[in-house]
Amino acid sequence: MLSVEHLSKYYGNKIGVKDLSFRIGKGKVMGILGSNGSGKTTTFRMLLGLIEKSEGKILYEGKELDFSDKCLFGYLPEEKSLLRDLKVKDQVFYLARLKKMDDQIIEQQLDYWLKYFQIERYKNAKVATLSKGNTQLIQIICALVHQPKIIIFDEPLNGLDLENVAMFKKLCQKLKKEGKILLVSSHQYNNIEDLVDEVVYLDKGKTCFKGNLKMLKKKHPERIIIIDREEGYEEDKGIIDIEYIGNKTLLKVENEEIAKSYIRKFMKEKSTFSLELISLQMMIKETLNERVD
Amino acid sequence: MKELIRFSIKRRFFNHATLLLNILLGILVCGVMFSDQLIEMINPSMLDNQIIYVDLDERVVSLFLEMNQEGITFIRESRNEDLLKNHPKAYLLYYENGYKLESQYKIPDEVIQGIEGLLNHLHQSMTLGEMLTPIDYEIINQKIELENIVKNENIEMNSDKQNLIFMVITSIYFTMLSFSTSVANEVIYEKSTRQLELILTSVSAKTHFLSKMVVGWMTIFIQMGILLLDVITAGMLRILFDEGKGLITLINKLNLFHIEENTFIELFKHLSIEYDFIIQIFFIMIFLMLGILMLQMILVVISSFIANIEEAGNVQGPFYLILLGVYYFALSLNTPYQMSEGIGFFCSFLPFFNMLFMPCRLLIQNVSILELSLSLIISVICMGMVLSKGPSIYQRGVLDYTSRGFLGVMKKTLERENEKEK
Repeated sequence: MLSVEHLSKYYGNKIGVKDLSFRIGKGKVMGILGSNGSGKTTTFRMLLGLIEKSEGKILYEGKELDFSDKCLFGYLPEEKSLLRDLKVKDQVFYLARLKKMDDQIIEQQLDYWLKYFQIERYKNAKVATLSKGNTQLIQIICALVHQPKIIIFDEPLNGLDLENVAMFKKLCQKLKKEGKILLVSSHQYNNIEDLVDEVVYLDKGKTCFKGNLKMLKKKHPERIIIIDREEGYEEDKGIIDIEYIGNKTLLKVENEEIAKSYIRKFMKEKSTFSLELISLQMMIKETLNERVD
Repeated sequence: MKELIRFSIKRRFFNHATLLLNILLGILVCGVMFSDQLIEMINPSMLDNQIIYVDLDERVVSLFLEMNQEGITFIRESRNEDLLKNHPKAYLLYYENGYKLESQYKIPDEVIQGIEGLLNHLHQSMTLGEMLTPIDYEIINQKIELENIVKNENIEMNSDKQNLIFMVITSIYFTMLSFSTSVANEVIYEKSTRQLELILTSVSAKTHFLSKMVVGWMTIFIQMGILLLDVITAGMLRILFDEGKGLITLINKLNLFHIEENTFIELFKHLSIEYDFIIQIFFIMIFLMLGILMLQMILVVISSFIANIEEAGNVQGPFYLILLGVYYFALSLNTPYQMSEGIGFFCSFLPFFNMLFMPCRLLIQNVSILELSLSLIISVICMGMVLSKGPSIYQRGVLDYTSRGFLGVMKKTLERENEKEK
């Protein structure tokens, strides 16, 4: 279990992160979300011990972290962090050796992950020759090669195509099954929505909302009805928003009761429809609108 | 730390540029070691004595021939058309309504002035020889010697020593400049590629900072070692070739040093290295190493605030200018007075400055153990201070990507400190 208690970081009068608390257990994924400059990277850096926290505690298995165990965390930074003139093998070996790993184990792990991502052919290629997506995969390997217990993925989907996004999701499921703790930040809310168990949304260092994503969605009164029709709907009582996506229409309604009344109507019309909870992206959008208001 | 050092050293020495540079260095050392052969191959007449054909009065010619002027060979020869055509480097001296010096190409002024001096001297000698008795002539020609009574005999300064000091200062300057900046550039590269962010999740900023210092030092030793190996190899080849006879002849001919021995082996046999000289070299090396380390520390700390390679030029440029200023400052103070009681004396106790001034003092005078110790202690204390504060500033710097630069970040840091105090 990783617990963060009242974690704060101040840069003089400026708030980096203020009073952040969350708990995340083994085999769970925590989404640390927020706009640019909201404090996500600062949080990660405090967790990694790269910067000192101003206040609060970071506990792992009930004990405060002293950062002596350099293999506890695996870290994928937001930006490209590889030395372009090195070969993939040399880069991974260098970072793994810094974690005091044996060469034999590094070799095994490297081969395993290259095979997993189906990029074995790049083992001896120079980093500079790799595509953006493959570079990101190599960075992910660097974060995983020492078999960390807690993995931080800062914007992991940057530069990944659809195929690699699917592969990344599969990887997260695998890591979850292995009992790893995953902390993920991303702006691609649609892509990580089905990945995260818990979320924390930060804005200018402060926590806007947090908790179990499913519970948060359920607690949210609004519902979404997706109808397989392109017909125009007029704003009616209880409908907050209408959105047309392809040949589907999304109706956002105020609460479950209103949603049920529309469902009855659609059933009579024998329309094809589905009722869904509000999406993570919508929740965030609403939170931001509320803050602007 | 071991892996950081191993990785850095490997990257520095096992790359195409360094390999090529070291090959070129080897060729250069071989070139120097076989320079006489190269000269023989390219321009055999380059080292020949200057020939001056003299077509003058018999008495003047015999006086010229007696003079044994170094680097000039006088030959009695009558004027003819083909003389200079066959020897384009030769001059022809004759008298026709005054002295004339004929040559294929324009003769440098200093050569003309030299020959004018010789002619004047000959004329005076001949006139005096005709006018005076041999005893009077002897008295007038007696060489006057001026003895310098030195109060402070502790200092030994001559042109050779001054040249040596100039060489030492220049070597130290370029060594510190090249090695300390290469370490700083490595930090900038690792920071700009964000590799440092990954490294610092495995090692502390202090370890990383110290590893850079060790790498800087080791690079110096390895590079010096490579150079030494080149010299030994080229020297061995030369011994196999002709035991170094040709090179020694060339050195003597060029007046670089006066070597009495004929071969390298004879030279090594007669080479006596005094204990004091070894001690001198030892202390010079210590001050040099401490100075470079200090400079590296400061430069690496400053470089940690540089976000990209473009910004590096803006920060390092003025730093190099300051170093250049210090270099000329040291050269200007290279006098016995300045080094024994003037500014040079005081600078030999200041950290960083002492790496230039203390070696100079050691070369020209006996520096007391007390002075040496005091200078060393001051340096070590100062380095300890940089070492204690450096890593924390360094850690702040390497994770700062605000492009505020060193001064900007330091200003902000100081502002925060003031706010905290309030």
